[in-house]
Amino acid sequence: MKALYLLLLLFISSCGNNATQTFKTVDISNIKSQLQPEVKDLFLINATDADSQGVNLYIAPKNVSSEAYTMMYYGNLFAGILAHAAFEGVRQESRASDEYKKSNSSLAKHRKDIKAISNKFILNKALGNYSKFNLTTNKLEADIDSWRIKIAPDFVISNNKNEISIIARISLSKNDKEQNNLHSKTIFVQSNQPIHSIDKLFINNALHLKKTLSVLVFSAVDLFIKDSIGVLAREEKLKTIKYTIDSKKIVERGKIIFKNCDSIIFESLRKEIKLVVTKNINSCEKS
Amino acid sequence: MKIFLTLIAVMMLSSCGIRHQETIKINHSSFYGNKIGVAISETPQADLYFPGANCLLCIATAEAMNGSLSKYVESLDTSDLLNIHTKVISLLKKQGANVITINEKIKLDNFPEIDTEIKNKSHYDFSSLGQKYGIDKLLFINIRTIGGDRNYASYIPTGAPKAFIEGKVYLVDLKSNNYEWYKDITRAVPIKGKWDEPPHYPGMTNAYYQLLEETSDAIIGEIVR
Repeated sequence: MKALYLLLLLFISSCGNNATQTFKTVDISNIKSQLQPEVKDLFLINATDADSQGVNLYIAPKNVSSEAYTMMYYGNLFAGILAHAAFEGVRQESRASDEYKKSNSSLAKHRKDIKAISNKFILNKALGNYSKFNLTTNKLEADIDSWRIKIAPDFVISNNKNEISIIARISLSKNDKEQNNLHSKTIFVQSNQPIHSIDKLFINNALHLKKTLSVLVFSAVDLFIKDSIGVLAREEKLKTIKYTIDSKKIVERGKIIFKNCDSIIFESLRKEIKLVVTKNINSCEKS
Repeated sequence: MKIFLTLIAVMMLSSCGIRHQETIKINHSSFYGNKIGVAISETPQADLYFPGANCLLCIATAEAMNGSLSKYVESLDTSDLLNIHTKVISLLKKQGANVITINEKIKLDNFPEIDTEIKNKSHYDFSSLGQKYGIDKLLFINIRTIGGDRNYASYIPTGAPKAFIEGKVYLVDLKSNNYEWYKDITRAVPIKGKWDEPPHYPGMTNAYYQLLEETSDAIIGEIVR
């Protein structure tokens, strides 16, 4: 794992010298499909094969100005590290799904047992992939190259028992005294997703859990980079934003950055960037 | 000036025998078959209150201790209260009620008081509105105070400030002056997290807007059939 991060750092430092460097692109459609549509339009997402075990991601804003380059450099440092962790999860998930499909076709009568084994495998892999962090205590925290990254996911089960809200509060800050607060930011991301069985969430829905966590990490990183390079434009006026967590209506004042039919990104009065779900995704699709 | 007004209010309240009006549950049929005027009171300016600070010096101390927050609360926009008026009218119309919008902001002092001890009778005679707008009943949203409060035990604060609203909403039959619906909408919303964050007090601001939303929901929630 350490070797991967070293490779990633080497990769990033080489980018620092040449903004136009090209990368061997690998198939990351799986990741792209999980990103918010507006992120896809704003960012170039490339990846290089580091070794057979993992992939380094490079997330760069389209049409970045030279002034924003330094900011972008640091942004990519986070993006690379966090995206790597998230992407690795997605890769394992897709491999596991393939294995499961194969097994499923030839061993249909053992479906239940195989599913249980597969899911245990996925869960173990997921924990393995995030070993740099401490997922078991619900707190992901790491010091990487003097940057302190904290990811605190909270799991909230909604009343209707068909949906789970996963909320992650992600703080990125630099320990360097001279540049203290330069990149200190808390990003709050919320995701509402349907699940099949809450009781079995951590076992049978490990795949779902991991996928959701990956999406949240990606969303936070995307928002962080956008904010660092000044892409995020806030509305002038403060608005009242209403959203729900665990069926509880929350009202907050903030400046809207982006709004679509099911979610809002806004800057709160405490200057946090928040991505919140305002409407059930399924009902959004219907409308 | 504020201290003086507070003292006057305290003296008036203690001298008058205030008749307590109990809640009257909504009966949806009361809204139909008649012309209903929907009105809202004059929007009060937001302010910070200190219940429990009950002496002149206590009030002065509380004012001094919370000067910055008090000034901030006074700057909060109360125009969102008018949205409740609009929402109620639109909902009643949608549900088929014959609704007349009363746009003038009602000041209770402009109406004659009714001196009665009879239960469920209006304290004020709104019959002039009946003639003016040709309505049979008045649905009145009466907001007396809005802003925040902080409890005191004389000179000592006993807790964090909260967003606070005091008011009533009622339906009065203008011929009989009987209340047909009476609901106290007084409520407080605690601040989540830190409250002492000058100059913009995000905790208090969010609690204040949550309060507006909850007040609106409390009224609308009952009117929905």
